[in-house]
Amino acid sequence: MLIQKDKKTTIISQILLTILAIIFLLPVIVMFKISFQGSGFENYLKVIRLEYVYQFFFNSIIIAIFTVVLVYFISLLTAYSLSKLNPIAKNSFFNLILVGLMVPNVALVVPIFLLFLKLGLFKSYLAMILPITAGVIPFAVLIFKNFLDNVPNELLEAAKIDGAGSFIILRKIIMPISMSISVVVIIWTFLMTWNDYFTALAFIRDKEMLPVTHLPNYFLMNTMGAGNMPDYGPFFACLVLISLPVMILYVFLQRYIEDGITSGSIKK
Amino acid sequence: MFKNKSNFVDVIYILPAFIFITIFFFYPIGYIFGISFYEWNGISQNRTYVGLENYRDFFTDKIALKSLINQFLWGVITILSQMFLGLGMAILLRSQARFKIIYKLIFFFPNVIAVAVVAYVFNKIYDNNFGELNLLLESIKLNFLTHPWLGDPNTALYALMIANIWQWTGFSFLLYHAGMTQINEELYESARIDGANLFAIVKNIIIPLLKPTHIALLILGVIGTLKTFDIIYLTTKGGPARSTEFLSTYIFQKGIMEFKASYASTMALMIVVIALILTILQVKGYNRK
Repeated sequence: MLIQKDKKTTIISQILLTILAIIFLLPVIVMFKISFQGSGFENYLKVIRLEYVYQFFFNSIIIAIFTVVLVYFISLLTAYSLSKLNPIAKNSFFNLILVGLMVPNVALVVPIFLLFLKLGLFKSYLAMILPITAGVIPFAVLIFKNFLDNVPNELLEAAKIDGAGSFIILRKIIMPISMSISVVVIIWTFLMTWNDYFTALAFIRDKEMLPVTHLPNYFLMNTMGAGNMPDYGPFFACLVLISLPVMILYVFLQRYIEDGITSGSIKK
Repeated sequence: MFKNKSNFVDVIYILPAFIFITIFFFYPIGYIFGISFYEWNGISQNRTYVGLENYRDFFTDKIALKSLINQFLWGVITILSQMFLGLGMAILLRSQARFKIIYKLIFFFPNVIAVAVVAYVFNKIYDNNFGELNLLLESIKLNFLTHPWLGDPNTALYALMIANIWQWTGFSFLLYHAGMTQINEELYESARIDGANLFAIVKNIIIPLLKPTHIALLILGVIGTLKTFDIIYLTTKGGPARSTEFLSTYIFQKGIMEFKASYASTMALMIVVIALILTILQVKGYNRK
């Protein structure tokens, strides 16, 4: 133990940890508390009764599904090639992918905006799916690659002797053994997509295609007359509803989410 | 592994990712570099070559300078606070305290919530009339401390920093926590036999051995600072009096709202340059291992 085992030190640690935990929970508690302000649970019913709310959730789910599928396949293929195969310019490819990890999307908003304008993508889910996929791929490749680098080559050599080609090995060996790390990638991709606000703000011009992070604003504009004070209760019920899926996911799949952070950030 | 010689066939696997990275990173980087030498609104057919004028404008633009200063302050204060707090929390978890799993769950919790949601929640907490912070201060008879936290140019940036620190400290904590599991516990015991107290162990053993984690957190922190947008846009929109303006919000305003595509691109290029320098550092660090 780094910290001494005696009773006094343990109690002090326990107290400090509890104080920190309360501070960290406070804003979340405030959010839940305000969501019941005024009419209690009725606030939630008020939100759920609005038809457009379902549209926002539907949009986010569609965008998340396509993004997750694209990121999973594209990143696994790339990591497999970089880790176990021998493509030309292997290191250069890897460095290019790292550039994608570092360059912030806000910096590149103007050219992509103009490109989508030319292609007429402002009224398509692709305007969100494609940029988010591009943004998540570098992170996902890194996670997959760190995992595959630790898979012994002998495992694949045996299959190779049996005459299996690289694609068969990908399907029969790599995909099954990378199940748990795939869960990590899938959950993270879902989280990043679900929580994205910026991509829709920049590239979606059709109100009916906006994701859940834009619901609070839409809700405010629809329920608040000019100059009126916002009705905080239902507004915060809205915030809770859009956070609930990620909160539940986190509480039940905490290990996978934490693995993603550690394997994507530090090379083991 | 399959073919010892580098070959083209294995490149096919990389191709889809390469296409995405090219369209969404390299094409835009080339593009903003190209149009930074023009005066252009992004839409019209005419673009005028102006040489380095956009760059000259950038270096004399008081708002851009203000944004850089804001962002610099933000980076230094939030990154260091998050590292300091995160390390402290990771150390506390290395005690005999109970319910460690629950603490870990709570500390990382804010990370999974959308920044947009966090922005709305803190906007309400800081509200001058109905905000929880001022209500709390009034209830404990500290009325003189109540303040329009986001409405005052002197406090807005710091108030938002606190929201940021609240959200991302769990990230630093988790990386330190993971880093510390790699340290051999016997080192602590032998140091203690030599008479070292906790402070000495942290200073002489933990902090030096966690160097890779510090570096990772610094680089990710700078990138995070360059990326920061949602929390500003949804609370103060860069105000009041530009006191929370960031390059990201300024680029968005110029490029998307005011159609100053070429000028916005020149500013964006500055961010890209900083990010590329960091990438080179990162690649060097990565290859060394």
